[in-house]
Amino acid sequence: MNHDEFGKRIENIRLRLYKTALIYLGSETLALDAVDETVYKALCSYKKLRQPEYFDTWITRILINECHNELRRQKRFRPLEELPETATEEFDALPLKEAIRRLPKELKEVVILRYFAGYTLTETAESLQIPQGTAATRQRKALKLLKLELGEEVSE
Amino acid sequence: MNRLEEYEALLQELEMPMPELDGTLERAQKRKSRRNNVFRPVIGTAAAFLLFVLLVNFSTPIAYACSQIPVLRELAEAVTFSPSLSDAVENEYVQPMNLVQTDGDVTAKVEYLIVDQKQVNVFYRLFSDVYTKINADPRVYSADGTAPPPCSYSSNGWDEENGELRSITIDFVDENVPDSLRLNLKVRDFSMSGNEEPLTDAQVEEDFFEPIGPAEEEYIAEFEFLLEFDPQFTAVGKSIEVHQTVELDGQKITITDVEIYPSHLRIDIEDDAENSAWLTKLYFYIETDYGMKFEPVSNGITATGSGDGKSMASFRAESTYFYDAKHLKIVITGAEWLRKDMEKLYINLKTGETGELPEGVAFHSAKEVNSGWILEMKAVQREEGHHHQILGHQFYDAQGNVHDIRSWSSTTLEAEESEDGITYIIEEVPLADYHEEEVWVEPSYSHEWFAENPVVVEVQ
Repeated sequence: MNHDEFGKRIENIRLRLYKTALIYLGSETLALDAVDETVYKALCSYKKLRQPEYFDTWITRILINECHNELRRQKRFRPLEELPETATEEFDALPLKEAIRRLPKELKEVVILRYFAGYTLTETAESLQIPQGTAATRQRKALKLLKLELGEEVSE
Repeated sequence: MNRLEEYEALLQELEMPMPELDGTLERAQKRKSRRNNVFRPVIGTAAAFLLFVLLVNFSTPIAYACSQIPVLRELAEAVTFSPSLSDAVENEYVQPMNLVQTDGDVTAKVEYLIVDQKQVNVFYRLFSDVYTKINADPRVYSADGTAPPPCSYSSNGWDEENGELRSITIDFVDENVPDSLRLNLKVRDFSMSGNEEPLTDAQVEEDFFEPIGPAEEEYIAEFEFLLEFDPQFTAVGKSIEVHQTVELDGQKITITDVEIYPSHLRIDIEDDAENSAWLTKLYFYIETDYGMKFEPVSNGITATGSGDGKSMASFRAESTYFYDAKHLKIVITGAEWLRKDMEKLYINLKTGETGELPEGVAFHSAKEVNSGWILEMKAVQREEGHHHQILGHQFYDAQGNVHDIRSWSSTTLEAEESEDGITYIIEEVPLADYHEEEVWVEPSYSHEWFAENPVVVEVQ
């Protein structure tokens, strides 16, 4: 992949990355910072990518890591507890945006990539480096907790 | 609002335009261009210490000057970091080589040398159909392979693609370049399949502590080239006696000799034992009888010390070798000093409390990681694009035990990003295997001085 191709790829994916970060972090400024950091890290190492077809899932993984790091930083100042999968009533009581943010990490990742950033189930599984079946199970659990009735197609 | 309506509203919210997103790639590019290479000199048995400067942006005029000589055009492009080497190429002062070796899926080819009495520049390429991103760790041995020679060496071209010209500079301080040297290149694979986890910040930090290199099993190929130098090149260089004493900022220094080699020029200096400060940098330029100006070396080793004190014993400038000048003038415009009562600087790594700091320098941050502390000091940038060295090569604990600093990394804090609107450089050093709260570091300087009228030394 040369520099021009890298630029085109970034142009195509930046909005998707931003949406993912925005849902994850809940702040436009933090989301933009996470995308900036992700693009910088990708720029520093994209030449090492042996198979450019993995670019989208690779850069998404960088972004997810950035979002986790940011949440870890925030926890020091403003603890935001994840709710366990058994806390169905608490999830019901929360607005959707807040409920997503308080999902267990594994479920949150899947639901954000699938239903807000527009990744297919296959892309979601590849980005998170989990089997597709696991992604499908987590997706189902997350939708159930959120009481959100959306399509759950497992193969696309 | 039911959950589905909430979901639709949230999707709408995500569609809100974010114009700043358009500039994300430009911001990343700008930031990357500011990040300098980590400088890790590999020092052999030479007792001398070295002072270096990193230059961010190279100029490329020589690439055009050489376009009439097709064979050397690519070499000219590879040496734009050094006006002296560019002159050497333009004057066809190049020893062609054709040494090719293949090990497994990697081929290495040594193509050219630029060599004189004090320096060897090796130009080589790496090829591979299997690995997309490879780099070589160089090691230099004497021709019989028994001992490292008294030299330091540094590698350029870390980001080069397969097949592009890379270079290694091997520098001899006191000794002369021998008839031959053995160059060992161990090649590592830096390509990624796309399935690897991106490096975490913690991994990047730990990597900073490893100046020695990776485990043997990580190398994918190894080459050993015997470099035999044409005696007509290794003999090139001359020394002119000067022996003139001048007073700068109330301190006395004596310029003893000027040494002229194709790869660089050296001004050798002795300082007076009565001086209250060590001479750490000399601001000067060389003027020839044709009015041509030669600046100090702006990238790489700029000065060397003798090991007897903190003063630098030899300063380097771009070479006048190819200009056949009968007279030279050393025009001294200023100096940088290290006060003898400021050789050590106290820092409390936890609180940021410090002793008396050099002019324009401040504590920036310190972070403890598994392998030790990462210390960051900031200094006002002296010249756009230039990074000067803030800390020396050693640090001390409360008991006075000495430890080494083996690598430095330097970044720019742009005026628009800093709180006071001033552009700073931030120097990051690893304090390896160190977990104490207090440390004593060696500042490279205490203050600068600029002459009201330049001090001129004539050299015949």
